[in-house]
Amino acid sequence: MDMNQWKEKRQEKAVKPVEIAVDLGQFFLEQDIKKNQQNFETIFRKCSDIVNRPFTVGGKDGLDAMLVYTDGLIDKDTINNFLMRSVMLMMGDKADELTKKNAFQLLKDSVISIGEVSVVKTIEEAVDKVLVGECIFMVDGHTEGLSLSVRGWQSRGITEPTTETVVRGPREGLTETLRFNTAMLRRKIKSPDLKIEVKVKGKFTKTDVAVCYISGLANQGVIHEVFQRLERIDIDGILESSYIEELIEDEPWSPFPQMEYTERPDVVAANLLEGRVAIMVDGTPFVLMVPTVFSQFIQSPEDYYQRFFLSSFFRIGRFLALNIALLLPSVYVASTTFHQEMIPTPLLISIASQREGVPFPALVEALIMELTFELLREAGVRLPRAVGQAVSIVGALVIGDAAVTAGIVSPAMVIVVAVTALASFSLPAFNMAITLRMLRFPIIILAGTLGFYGIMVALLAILIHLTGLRSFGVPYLAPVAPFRFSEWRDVLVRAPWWAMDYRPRSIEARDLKRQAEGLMPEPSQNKDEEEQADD
Amino acid sequence: MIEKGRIGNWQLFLIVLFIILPTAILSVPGVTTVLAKQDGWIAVLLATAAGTTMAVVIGMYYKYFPQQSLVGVGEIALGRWLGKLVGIGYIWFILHANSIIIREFGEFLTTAVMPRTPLSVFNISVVILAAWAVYQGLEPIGRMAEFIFPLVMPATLVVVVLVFRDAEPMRLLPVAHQNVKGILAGSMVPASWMGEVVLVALITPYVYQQRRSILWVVAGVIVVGLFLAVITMNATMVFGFQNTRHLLFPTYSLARIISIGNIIERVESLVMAIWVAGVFLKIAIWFYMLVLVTGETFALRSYKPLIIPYGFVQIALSFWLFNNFMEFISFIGTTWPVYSIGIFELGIPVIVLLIALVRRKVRGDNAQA
Repeated sequence: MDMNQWKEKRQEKAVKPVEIAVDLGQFFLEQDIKKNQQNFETIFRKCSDIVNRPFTVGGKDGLDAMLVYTDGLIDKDTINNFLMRSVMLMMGDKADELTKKNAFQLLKDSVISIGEVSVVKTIEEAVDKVLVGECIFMVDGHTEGLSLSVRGWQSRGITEPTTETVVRGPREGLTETLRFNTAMLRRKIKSPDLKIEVKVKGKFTKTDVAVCYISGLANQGVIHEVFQRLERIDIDGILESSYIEELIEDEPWSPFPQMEYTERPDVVAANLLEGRVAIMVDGTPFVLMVPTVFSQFIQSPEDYYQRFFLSSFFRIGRFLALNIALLLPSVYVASTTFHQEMIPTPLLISIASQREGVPFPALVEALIMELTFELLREAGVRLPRAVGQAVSIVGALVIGDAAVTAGIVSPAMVIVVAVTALASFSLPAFNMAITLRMLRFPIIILAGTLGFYGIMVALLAILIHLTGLRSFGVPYLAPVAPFRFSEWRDVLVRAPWWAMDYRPRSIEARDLKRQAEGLMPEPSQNKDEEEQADD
Repeated sequence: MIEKGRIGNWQLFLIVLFIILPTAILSVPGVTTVLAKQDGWIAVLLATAAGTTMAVVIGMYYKYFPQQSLVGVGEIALGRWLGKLVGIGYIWFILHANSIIIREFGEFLTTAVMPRTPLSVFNISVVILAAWAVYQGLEPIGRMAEFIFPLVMPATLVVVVLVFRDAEPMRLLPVAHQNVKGILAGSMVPASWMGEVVLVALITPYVYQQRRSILWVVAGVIVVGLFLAVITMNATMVFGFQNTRHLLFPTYSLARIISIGNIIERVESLVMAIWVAGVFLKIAIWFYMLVLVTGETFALRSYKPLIIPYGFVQIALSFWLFNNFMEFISFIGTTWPVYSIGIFELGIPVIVLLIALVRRKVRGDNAQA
């Protein structure tokens, strides 16, 4: 075989598709049940989980019928008890009425004892229904089929949310199944104003994406914008809400998360009540909430369940933690390299003596330690639990002791890195914490080359970026900039509930009033009344 | 409208503050004391009075011509072509002034903070940052002002308060003793700084509720004046005027002597870092005004293409304008006040305003729209 022939043959091979995708357009629901059955078989060729069952409807002259469903997505008991049994053993006078002509109507109206039933007219519809866990029932002589809602599949039960734990507060977390999630939400907000609109996204995955909002609270413009941005999405599959997040966010090049996510139904409910819009995606417990502002990332759901003094105290602590996580290593590098005069003399001497044997400049030292720590953290996340412990022990020994003894880093640097790590773990929002950790590296480099000026340049760059950022029309730094004092009762501190009469203005909810005024509790002033009550 | 964003009066107030204060707070105490001696603070207060007058003139633009910027009013008053000439004049003024500010920023950092780092590092990095800020537009600049304000103000106040134990009020005496000429001359420099408020006349149409803006503009200048007076007084009380006038950056030197219980010491680097934020914002606002006034004068659809070329021009000018810092100081102390106040800060705004008002009166109120 000469070269050209071989090439041609190869090309032929490459062009020839192994398996042609099914074109549903060429199929129709037919009168003849045999033909229908063949069609479904062709469509679902090599799909071992699709069950295609022919049977006979009971009665005087048995009629041919068929069922199509996906094994594993339906509840078999329901099919056996309420479909097969009632149809095959048609009892009483109904059996006599049955003819080929009225079969469809009769079965639908008076025989099949299943709650949710709908009529399908095209084969596309039928196939879609089968794949989402409905059961298609067809009877001979009719070009319409019945779609029976008998969904029932194995799913993870409701467990405690693992990423957002609280000491006090509800313990249930969202699951992977959209219906359970909407049910959990509905149990919290029992109002017809809670709207849950579903869009199907993804060419192959056909994922349900539910947009939840409270009509009358959520800003109309935001809702409209959410739907418009969802409308644009044309993708082969959506497996997690992050797909949606990246496809609809305002500034795709920003390192900062522009949407808050949660796996707690109470957080979703609280956000809806503030006038936000939630986006739930089937197959993931993580719900997106828009619009989001920066200050939300230092707030934990628990803030609203603990006494407000404690919450405010912890929130201020978290704000400090945020700054430490971002800046501590760079401030250390800058002050030991450029601004030694700032450090009190005894401390400076101690640091200098520690650094005496260290061969690297503080900048390199900091980068080494920070990178090691990031490795350790990543290893801890990826490894199986049993091995994870070993990693943390090795890491603690290596970082905490051996590196210092070997004279590679100074003990002060170990402390700085450890405190930074602690601070970044104390942030309730993982996506924000990871952003800060990432930004830490350029800031360290700038601090090591230009000192405090370098840190300031980095911070200004971040500030410029953040002031220009918007999440669904809301400035990201609100209510700090633009400054709205009335909202400060829920930013760095959490005011008691009786003082938060209004919803945050930045979200632009349609109705700002949250509660009646003057809810501050006070003991009865009238002594006589109290005594009377005692009697 | 070339600018889509809108800012509120509070943001306008902060912009007035940041247009003037960040560099003024560094240089004014030193330069004023040279002429006014121990009465520097009186000179600054006098300058504040002058600055308030200029602020009132600018406020009038907000009151009477809320729909036009200074360039627009210039076209109303002087006709299309002369009006454009006003715009071109301001393009030059802002370009020149902002290059001076950038130079001052770099000079301060190289002389006082990091002597071995070349000037270009600071000049170029700050212009890049400012260009990025300008690219974001007016609204984000307003938000930056809101964010940086709570950093800059407390830092300055802390310096003022913490050095108080080294202050010696006797150094202010004798007050205004046979030195009226010196005080008047010394007030020229701070007055030229406060006259920089003229820039906010360029963003009149982009402010909400312009008719009340006059109060905020005037308040901004008064706050700046009080701040400068306190700092000048403080520097005189701490160092004595004989030393203050030889200090290039008295405020920075004040931060230097802070010491509390051997724990908080020598916080000048921290103060410097915060001050950098302030000056960055000042440069960004001037830069923004530059591209805005250019865009408006030449009726461009967008000012964004101007940012990068102007950035280069400003970096270049910031190097070329002066050979060394002494030349800079003498220019700021002698030529600059006459040139800036006389022409751009008071001259043109007053003339244009008067002619525009008279013309409107003559034509009747329906010409307002």
